[in-house]
Amino acid sequence: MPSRRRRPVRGRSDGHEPRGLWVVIGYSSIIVLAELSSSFVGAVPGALLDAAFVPLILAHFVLRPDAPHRRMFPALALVALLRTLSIAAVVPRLPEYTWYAAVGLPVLAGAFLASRLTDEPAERMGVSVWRLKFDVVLTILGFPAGFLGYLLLRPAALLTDADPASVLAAMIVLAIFGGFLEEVVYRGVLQAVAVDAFGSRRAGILFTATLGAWMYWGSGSLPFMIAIWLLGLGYGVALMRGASLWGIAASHTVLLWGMGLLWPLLLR
Amino acid sequence: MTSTVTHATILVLTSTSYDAITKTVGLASVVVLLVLLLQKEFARIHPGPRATAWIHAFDLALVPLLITFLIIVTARLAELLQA
Repeated sequence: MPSRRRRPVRGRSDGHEPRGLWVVIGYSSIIVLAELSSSFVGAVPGALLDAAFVPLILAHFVLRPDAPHRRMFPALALVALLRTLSIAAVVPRLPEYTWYAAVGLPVLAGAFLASRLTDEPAERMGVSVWRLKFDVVLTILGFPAGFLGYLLLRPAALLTDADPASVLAAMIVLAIFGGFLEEVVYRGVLQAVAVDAFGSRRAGILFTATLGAWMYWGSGSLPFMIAIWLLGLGYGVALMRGASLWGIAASHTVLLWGMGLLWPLLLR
Repeated sequence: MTSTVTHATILVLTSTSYDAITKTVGLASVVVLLVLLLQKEFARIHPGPRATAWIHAFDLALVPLLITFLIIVTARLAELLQA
């Protein structure tokens, strides 16, 4: 009798331990503080705070193997590392779309290493495609979401000319180091461990969407941050309901293509 | 537009000289990289389960920082060669 594949239950909360959640909240607050500092003392001090924070949280991960929710630590270290690299790795005189690749390449490497440290099964990270139609619908929804994002943030076009080679290069960079990267970091790595740490899917999704939205503090637009928070909640719920990480990443990619390439050129 | 490249980071990158960026965040990244490499080497000298854990955990920061270090060095060399 052929065995039927069963969709895994993502984000089970086995072994939930409420003790020590304050450590997770405390570490997350340091990341939030570093983001807030960009408005008051500049982005550089915030990036330096994150740079100092990364070795400390990793040391805690190693030195306290019995610490509750320690699987959260590599995920939080990755989020902190993201901000340091976002300033350190960029070469300003290169075209703006290459900045995403310069930051994204090291962060992507870090994301794969973090997923290894958190010991999260690939299936719970959403790498298997179970509901293709759902993924396609999510991808299509990226178009209106991109339009909304453009209206809220009004970013400048990533490219000033519509040279096909540059457009193709920008699209590839945004797909790999924009949509895919962010979803691997937030939904793939962080949400999976946050659901276990907080003991419920709702709390895990809420925590991930909130921290993810805080990382957009530097966008300087509160309405855009709220939209990103709602988008994060939507993607988080979709992942739990059987969407794959690929579908969510594709949706995010379409959103970025719209915001950075399509709408600025059409509506300028 | 993404959490990696926000308006605040674009502002820093366009309003600050690359020299100033490499001397602050770039330098801090290199210092963190050196600290992590040193700790990793100490862990290698004293092998054991915890040492292996140190090595694996620090790879999370080491590998991205090494890639960043290569980007910084390549950009600086390119600048020097163009000058």
